Amino acid sequence: MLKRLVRHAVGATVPKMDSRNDVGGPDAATTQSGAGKKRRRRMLFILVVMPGVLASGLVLQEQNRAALSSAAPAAMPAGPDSLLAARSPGARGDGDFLVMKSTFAPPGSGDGAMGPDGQGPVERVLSQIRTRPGEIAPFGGDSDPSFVMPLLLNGPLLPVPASFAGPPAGPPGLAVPTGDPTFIAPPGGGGGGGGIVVPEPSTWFMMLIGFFLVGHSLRRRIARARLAPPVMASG
Amino acid sequence: MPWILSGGSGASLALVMVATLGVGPVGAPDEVHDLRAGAQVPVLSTASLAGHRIRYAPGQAQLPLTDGAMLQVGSMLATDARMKHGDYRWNEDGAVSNGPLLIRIDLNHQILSVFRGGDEIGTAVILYGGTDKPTPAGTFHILQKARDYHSRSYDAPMPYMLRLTDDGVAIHGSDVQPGAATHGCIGVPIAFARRLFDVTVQDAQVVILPAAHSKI
Repeated sequence: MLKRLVRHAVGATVPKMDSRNDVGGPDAATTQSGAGKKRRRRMLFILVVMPGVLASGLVLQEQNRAALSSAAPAAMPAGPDSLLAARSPGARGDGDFLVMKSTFAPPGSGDGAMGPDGQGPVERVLSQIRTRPGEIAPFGGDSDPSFVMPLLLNGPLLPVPASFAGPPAGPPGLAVPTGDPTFIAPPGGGGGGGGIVVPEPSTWFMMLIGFFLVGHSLRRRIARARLAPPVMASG
Repeated sequence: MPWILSGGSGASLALVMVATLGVGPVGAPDEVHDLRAGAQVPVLSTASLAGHRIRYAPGQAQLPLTDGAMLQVGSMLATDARMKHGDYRWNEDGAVSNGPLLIRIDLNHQILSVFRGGDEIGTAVILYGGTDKPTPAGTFHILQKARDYHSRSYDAPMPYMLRLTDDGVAIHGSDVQPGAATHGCIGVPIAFARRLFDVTVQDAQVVILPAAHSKI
């Protein structure tokens, strides 16, 4: 814009001012800078590559539909029996099963339907009670309920064994299911204290992608600023 | 990136996304769970594949029932792949609108099929009784329907219950998982149980075929 004004001042022909196309007129060739070439490249990309991608997408769609609709007749004709066999997950294996009913008849109505040894459903997940460092192990399993009592009822905390100074490294620092009276007070008074949190791989990747995007956009902004220096607003 | 959104490029990009992402396998408007594309369904030479239904010529296709009886099959649902625990199909398109209802339970295949007038309208993978409480085989009739029944013996919910015997064997909604069994009832996915409950009438026939290699 500034160049055009300067050229006008020194007597060159004023090019036609078009709001949609700010290069034009007899001096268009000389005023076309990298911006114009870039725009031409962009339009070329749009006109050539996009239809190509569109066409390949439509071709894929046609292939997909053709593959689905073509049902080659099998060598052996399939009747309802074969259809059932094909859709079936197979015969159920022998053995003991986890019965789906969540609770069972009270003992005494016993008809042996409670599982292999009549003890009720077998836990398949969380077979070991797991605690985080700093948490008190919940009731259950072989934990002695009485071990929690000293913590609740006694005023001052019991002395900490010397070997346990510092944050717990691996196993939870508090779970003492055997009922040992010399247990350790939870650090920080709650769950989650002292644990090390490692991000998931997907989190790492997202962070890297974010950094790349930020760097890329910064680089583009700099490049654009270099190619097309800021112009004054036209009147 | 403002250029990617400007003018025609934006429209082209939208078209590209629609073309490549939009249309998956062509499917009929039936209620399908875990439909997989790509599997071929074997087609009987004199049958026709209409959408998701395989139609047979009259008298050409039968399925065995109990006591030597045979069911004349007019059409079957075309499942695209092997079904898993928790899967079901329900499609009444192309089936006769009224006709005798038959529920055929094949313990060996762990499949329940619902036929109306010889046309299959629904199928599901089932749970059945474990070794201590086996599901009885034979011919039964729906004795009672209850939308929200609760088992007194086992203190457990039995949604969409269809009672088969006086001692408690019924078809009802359940969490169908592999490796699980019931106390003798037939467990089907709850959504399928709702559909089955709505079409079933009292005294409808239920046929249970035994597991071939049953221990009992």
